Amino acid sequence: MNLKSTLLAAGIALLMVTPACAADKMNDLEIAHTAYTAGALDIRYAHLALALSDNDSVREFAETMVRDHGAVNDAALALLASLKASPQDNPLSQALVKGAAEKRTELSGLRGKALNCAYATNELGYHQLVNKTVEKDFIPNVTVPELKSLLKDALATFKVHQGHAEHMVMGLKCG
Amino acid sequence: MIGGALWGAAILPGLVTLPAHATRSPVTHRVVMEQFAFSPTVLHIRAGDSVEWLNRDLVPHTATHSDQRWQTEPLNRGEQVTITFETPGTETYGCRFHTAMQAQIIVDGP
Repeated sequence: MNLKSTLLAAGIALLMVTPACAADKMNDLEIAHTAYTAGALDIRYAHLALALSDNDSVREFAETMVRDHGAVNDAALALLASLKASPQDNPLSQALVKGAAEKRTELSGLRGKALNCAYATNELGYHQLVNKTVEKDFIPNVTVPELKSLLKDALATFKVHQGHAEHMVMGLKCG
Repeated sequence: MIGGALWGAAILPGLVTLPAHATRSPVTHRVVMEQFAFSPTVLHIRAGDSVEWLNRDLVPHTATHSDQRWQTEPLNRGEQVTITFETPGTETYGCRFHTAMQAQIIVDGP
């Protein structure tokens, strides 16, 4: 599977629902839910990679995803607790969950280089899409200053991940 | 403290001879981990000084020597740790988790 097809597959769920959600102006609690969900799903991808891959660069990246997304999500939960607010499920979160379940099923059937490349290209595409959504839709629309600040910090983190994923894909020579 | 020692030396040139190390107390310098970078990137210190790393990012970072001769524990947001450098030389280090984060400590003689 080449990068283009992986991006397409990873992006279908988001692209199908993002325009409608943007038009509906997701509220802060929905944005918080989706941002948290995206991080939690990436942690699940990472645990799958750690269970199945022996590749050092893949494992290092996956460990970073577990550590960093865990820290960002912990900060999100702490913020929501301080605001006495609960995140609100929504169609975009549901689409992300559905798409990730399908991708995990696909990854689970792969081994060796096929697995490493599928994981790496999915991580690159996933971060590109999530980063674009956070930057273009979430940050401009969120109203609570503390949540906006957290999303900005999170975006800085996710952009570093995107760069790391690009290096991982190149290093694996996935073609 | 440093200013006082220099003032005394200026007033009594040649009359007071102090060992070099007696003219300066060890100093603790701060390096901040923020936006996935160390600040300052290059830090000049004197042997016997200490460096305190403070993490202001959302995610954990370390300060890890390039040859792993020393490293800090992972620092979560708001955490800090201090290491003292006794030997002159150049210490190149980075974050173990985010390898694009690189910096140097240049340790001069006391």
